[in-house]
Amino acid sequence: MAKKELWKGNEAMSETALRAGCRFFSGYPITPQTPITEYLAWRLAEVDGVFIQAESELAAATMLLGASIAGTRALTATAGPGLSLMTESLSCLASGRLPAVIVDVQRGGAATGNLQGAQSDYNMVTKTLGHGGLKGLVYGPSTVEELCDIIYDAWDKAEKYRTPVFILSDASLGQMMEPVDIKPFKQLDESRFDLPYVIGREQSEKKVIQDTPYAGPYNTMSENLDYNYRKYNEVYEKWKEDEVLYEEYMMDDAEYVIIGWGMAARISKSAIRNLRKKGIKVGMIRPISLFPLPEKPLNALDAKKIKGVLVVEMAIPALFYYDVKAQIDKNIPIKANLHCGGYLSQVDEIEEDIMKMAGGK
Amino acid sequence: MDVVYKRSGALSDVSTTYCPGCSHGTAFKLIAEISEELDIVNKLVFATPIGCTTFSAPFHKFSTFMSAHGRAPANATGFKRCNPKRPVIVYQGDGDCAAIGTGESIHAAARGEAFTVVMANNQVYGMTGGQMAPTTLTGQKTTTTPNGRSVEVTGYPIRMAEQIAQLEAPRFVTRQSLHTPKNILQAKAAIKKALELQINEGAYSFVELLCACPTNWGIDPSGIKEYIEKNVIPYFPLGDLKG
Amino acid sequence: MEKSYLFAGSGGQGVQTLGVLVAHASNEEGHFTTFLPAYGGEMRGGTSNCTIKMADEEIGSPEEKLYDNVIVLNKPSYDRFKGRVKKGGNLFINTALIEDAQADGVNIISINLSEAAKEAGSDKALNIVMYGLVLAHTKDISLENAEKVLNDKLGKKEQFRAVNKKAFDIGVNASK
Ligand SMILES: Cc1ncc(C[n+]2csc(CCOP(=O)(O)OP(=O)(O)O)c2C)c(N)n1
Repeated sequence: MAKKELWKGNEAMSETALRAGCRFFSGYPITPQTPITEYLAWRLAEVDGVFIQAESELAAATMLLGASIAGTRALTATAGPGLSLMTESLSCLASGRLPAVIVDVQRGGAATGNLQGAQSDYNMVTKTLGHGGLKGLVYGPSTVEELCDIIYDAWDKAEKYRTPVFILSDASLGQMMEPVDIKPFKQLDESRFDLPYVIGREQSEKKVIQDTPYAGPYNTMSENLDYNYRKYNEVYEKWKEDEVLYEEYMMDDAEYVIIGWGMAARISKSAIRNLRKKGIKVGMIRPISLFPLPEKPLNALDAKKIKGVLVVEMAIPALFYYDVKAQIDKNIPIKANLHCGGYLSQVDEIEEDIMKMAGGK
Repeated sequence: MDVVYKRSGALSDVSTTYCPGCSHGTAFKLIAEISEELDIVNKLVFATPIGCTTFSAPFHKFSTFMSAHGRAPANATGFKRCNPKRPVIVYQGDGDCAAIGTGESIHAAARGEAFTVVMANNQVYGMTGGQMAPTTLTGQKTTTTPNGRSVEVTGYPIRMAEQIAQLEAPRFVTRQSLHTPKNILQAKAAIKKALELQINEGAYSFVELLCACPTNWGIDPSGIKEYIEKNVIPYFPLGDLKG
Repeated sequence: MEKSYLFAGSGGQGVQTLGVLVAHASNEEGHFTTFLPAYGGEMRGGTSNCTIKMADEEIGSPEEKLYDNVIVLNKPSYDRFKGRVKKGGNLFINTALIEDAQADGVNIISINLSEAAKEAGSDKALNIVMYGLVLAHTKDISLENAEKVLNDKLGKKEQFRAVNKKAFDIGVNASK
């Protein structure tokens, strides 16, 4: 195997997206997402793809719908306030069950906030995509390589389930350089232009692509929406069986468990290694899919064996923490280590929290 | 016997559900006839946003995609860039095009996207029941301007075609009306020209149509012609603004 | 093995390039590597900085409270980061801009980068002198790989290649 190359997260992800068959990007510059927009501006041109600098995130995300209806693998990326503007289209993508990939390079704070890494958009995309309560697959990678792995398969999943796929990156992962293997180009076949939500190349039988599924076996819109959203929900439930992704780290003999995702989780790995040197048996469960959340490994934590759980998260107030808490045996003490607004999780503080749990040593 | 008039084959057998005197049905009829004349019934894609046209798909035979309120030009941009061989009509209300979707409208026009925008200017929000639109005339009563639109409070109505005509990229910008048979024929010629420019030269065009909404204007459909001539055309003059 | 580096200086001194070169050299050496630039609001106060970690296992945090090696090219960076060196770690300073450096329990490695760069033939080569000095001193990366990366990344033009080689050698020799 050739030596891995050092790439910045944003750029490695963009190149991998292109190789996964992405041929459409619309975006609106916002730090720390801008390097993605700049990279794809020249790179998509080289492969006869479409790049559009949109007039706003509203428009950028709306353009994804059109590209998806044309059968093209489409991507947008944003951060902070841009995500607020995109929620309208997220709702439409989920409701129209149109495949597309959206990347949020999370930054600190609400409103304008700041430009550092954060995890505060977790609820906004795992609970529902925009208004209306629908879902998409959501991933929270923690290394540049994992970011690439996820986006490489993102459209395959998006098309398989007819869903938007959402990737929660963050400012530090986007700007960080790490060694990666850039993957080979995927070959897509022409059959994609016959997919049910695609209006074909030259001409076609009449197709009506609605972002609200009014059509169905019943006479009223309400009955049909009820019917269709029930079917959507069956898909979401199936994801809980088939699309759960997580990592277990040093869990075999663990008495204390750190639970975190993305950047907070990888930072916690350093703390775990330091604590292990001190003889404290700490492990980690790291969800990679955030929706569906890996519930089973959390449910399986045994109060007879596990003396404490620490959720490490870059969000204040806590968001992910409550999802974890809901899945954990009530007899296991659980605490949160929180930072926000672009303040990354700190190794020494995580160590301290676990030490306190272990008896204040 | 010669056939001098028939229902367009590009319309479906379902009759429209629009109010008496509404112009949307007339506009669809024109588009249907043009699509047959240009032999693009299976090719034309109809992009509808939110407004009284939201539920128009059953009335015609064109492939259709829906968009959120105001966003059809952005949605159509994504579609047309990826699918350049399909002719696209973006059919918007005035509220859609010139209020909530102003940004998308102006920027799609500025980029010269290869589609044709038809804006139905009925001076009200039809679908939601007759509130003020960006085109509502000064003094006009709507449910949100119960004493008549006042310029002190709400400013002046927007002439969208003039806004679009200022931009470099649009090839053909015109305002037409659907209130007399003669105007209907002129409107048809304008839409046809816009579509031909799109198909042959990849050009963006904008056709504003003065439409009637007697239900929300609170007038009898028989009074439409007089109302439009007396109130609407003086503020929204007809004719080509560009190309 | 896990080693951490913090590089800081003013924007025009090529600190980010210096960090990127060390990161590539670490990757060339076969280490797990992370490079994290400070950006946006972090770049206030006349300093630009970045951190690198290299290890023989997967890297957790790309940042540290205290670093094995802190490399400061100007006074504001020295003031801000001199306290971030581990006990027994290395503090590399540019004496052309930092006078009377003091730090307890750490090794101070000094070099006048202005003079060294002039000797190499270009004022801009000061970061390359530091690159040679740092890697020769820490020995975390072989000089062979360090030089290879220098050529791969900055050696496209013949005239730069010669200056860079000279600057690198000056840095390496200064570590002896
Ligand atoms: C974001 C959003 N805000 C408000 C609405 C409600 N709404 C639906 S149609 C409409 C007005 C449409 O008026 P116009 O564009 O003039 O078209 P018409 O119905 O008159 O043909 C409004 C306000 C909506 N669907 N979405």
